[in-house]
Amino acid sequence: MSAGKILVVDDEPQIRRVMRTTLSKHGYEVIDARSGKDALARLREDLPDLVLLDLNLPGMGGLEACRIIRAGSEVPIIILSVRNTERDKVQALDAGADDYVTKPFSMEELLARIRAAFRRVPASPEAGPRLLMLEDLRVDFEARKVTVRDSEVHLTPKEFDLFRYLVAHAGQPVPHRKLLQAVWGPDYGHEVEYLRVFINQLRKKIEPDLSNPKYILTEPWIGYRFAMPERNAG
Amino acid sequence: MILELLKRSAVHIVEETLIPLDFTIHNWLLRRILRLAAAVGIIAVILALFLRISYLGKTAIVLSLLLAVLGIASRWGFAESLAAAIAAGLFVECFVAPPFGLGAPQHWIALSAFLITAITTTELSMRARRKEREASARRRELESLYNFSQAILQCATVESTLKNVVDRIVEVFGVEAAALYYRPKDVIFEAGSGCAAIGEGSLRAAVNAENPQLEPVSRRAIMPIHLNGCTVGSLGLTGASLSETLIQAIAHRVDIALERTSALEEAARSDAARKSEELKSVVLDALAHDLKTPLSSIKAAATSLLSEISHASAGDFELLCVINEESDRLNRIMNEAVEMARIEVGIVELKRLQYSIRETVYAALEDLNPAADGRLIEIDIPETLPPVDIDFCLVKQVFKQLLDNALKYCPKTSPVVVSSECPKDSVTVSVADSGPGIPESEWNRIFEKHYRGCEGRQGTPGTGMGLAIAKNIVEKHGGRIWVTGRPERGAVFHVSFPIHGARTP
Repeated sequence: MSAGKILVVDDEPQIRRVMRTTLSKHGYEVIDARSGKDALARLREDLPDLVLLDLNLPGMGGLEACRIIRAGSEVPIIILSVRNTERDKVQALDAGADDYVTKPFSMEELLARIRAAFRRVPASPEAGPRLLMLEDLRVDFEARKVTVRDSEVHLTPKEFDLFRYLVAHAGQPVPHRKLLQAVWGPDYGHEVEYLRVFINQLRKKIEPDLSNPKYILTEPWIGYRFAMPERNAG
Repeated sequence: MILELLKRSAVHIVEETLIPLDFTIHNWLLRRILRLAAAVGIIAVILALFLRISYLGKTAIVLSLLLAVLGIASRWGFAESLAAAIAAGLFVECFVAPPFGLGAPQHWIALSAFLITAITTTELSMRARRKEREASARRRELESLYNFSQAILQCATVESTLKNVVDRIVEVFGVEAAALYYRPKDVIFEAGSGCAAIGEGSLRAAVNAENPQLEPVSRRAIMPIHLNGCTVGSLGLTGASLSETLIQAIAHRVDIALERTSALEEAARSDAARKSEELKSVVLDALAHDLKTPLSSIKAAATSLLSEISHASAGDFELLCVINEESDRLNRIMNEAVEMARIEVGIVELKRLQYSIRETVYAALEDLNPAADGRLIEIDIPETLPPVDIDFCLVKQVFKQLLDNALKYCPKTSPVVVSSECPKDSVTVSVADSGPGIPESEWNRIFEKHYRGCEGRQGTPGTGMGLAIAKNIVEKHGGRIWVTGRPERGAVFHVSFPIHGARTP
């Protein structure tokens, strides 16, 4: 039984070689693809548990591939790219990636991030309410079901974990670092842009008025806070 | 009434004696004399005819003569009709006298009728002819103006347009010479012969004048030329009597042509600049990607082996560390080289906003996280420091570089001190370390690319580009970066930004 099936998408054969060798050695099953189109085919046929995606791909770019994968699957996506500007990172996260690693990277770091991506925030009863019922929002944390104004919305696993953590600490500002470590893993803490992107996506799905959020509030320079309205049944 | 008629006849005579341009004096005189003779001749012939056919009666003779005067007046001119009228009067007096007898009032009446007919008819026909002349002159002007506009709107550059303007003016409007002074390039374009008559001095002086200067006597005109509402030159013409309206119309057409080509040139220039920047950006990205891709494989492979260190011997571990560290170094060098190139070729555009320098310094500090190594940094920047117009990310990088340098050279036990000053229109931040300091001879050179300090500053890893990049960023903001030293007690780097955002062009 392998630790998980990883799809490596990169047009550079040497990278694929190193990844295949190292990841196999760490117990993962590795499949690879050299283009976005190839990746989508492998995704359908082999159903990997995680995708390592290069941005600079021939034909369909990595960003486009990321969008298509995310549209049809919840599989965690980690971007591997030589592009290192904040804009590139935000674009990739916006396209549905869960994490972004800049090339060249240390294998230790990548392995840690892969482990973090496989890890789910445990849904223990102490971590928060099992059911959240508000005026226009209903969340069943055990069934991972979110209903906004009578229609079910779909949250990605990272979005869901982030939301659950904020709800579990409703009313108190959660600092960036704490939030990152809780949702992504202990190796994180500086990736404030991740939060910006994911909070923004959460708000788009949950908030009735994006320009004036009522549930997920920004605490300037500190972090985010879930504001619990008076009337609730948790 | 007689007086009025005489006055008009005087005007006609003056008008008629003005020699049209296309005739030589000799030709013109000969023609007039011939016509005068012909006018008198016609009257004589009519009279002779009527004298032969005497049964027609005197009234018919007088009426026929009157018609003849009328005809001559409307066809030829004042002098001819006057001659015909007098001749007719005299002939009636002499040959058709009986039965009234000489000097009878009827004869005076006949003579007056001839004269009044001659004067009035000439007056009317002259007026009509004058109108027609004016109309055709106007039409010719419009045609020339149209041809001129067409011709000068076909050039792609400002200079070719201006050269074309003077050539076409000479060609289309038939002036002797045309000269155009264009101030931005300080050049004079000339066409035709006799440009000296326009005068270089007058042309240059006309740039400061508001209105066209017309000198009908010397037949010279100088008018200002405008571009985007400013006077940028002047156009001088000589050797033709063009109307003021036409001259102003010409100047207006030149303005339009100039505006058009300069807009075209501007568009071409900015397009070329944009294309070249895009190209540079693409080349730099491709270069960075191509260099980093193999490096990624090397680093991934090395770190992969390092992670299973239990299997490797101590010697292998050492070698793997060298591979790993050197890949990091290569990566750093490439990042900085690309960054430097981007800033140098101007691809990096400043995203300026009002920021607090204090916050920027704190943000840089947060990235470096020196507290993790137990390092001390004292920050003495008041919160009241006015905000400056900066690109937050780039300026944060400058402070990161300065703080990183200071931490590198400062002994672990002593603090790096960051302080600020606010002289009237700028904000200065100083970063002081208590390291070995920098000799004064190197104060300027350390900001040069690839320059590495010699004394006491060797042996620390770096690419030698950090300070050059910092200097580039600061100067892009219109600021200044420099270093001073506290003798034997370390270096102090200063960065100053203008408060009112004196942007570099």
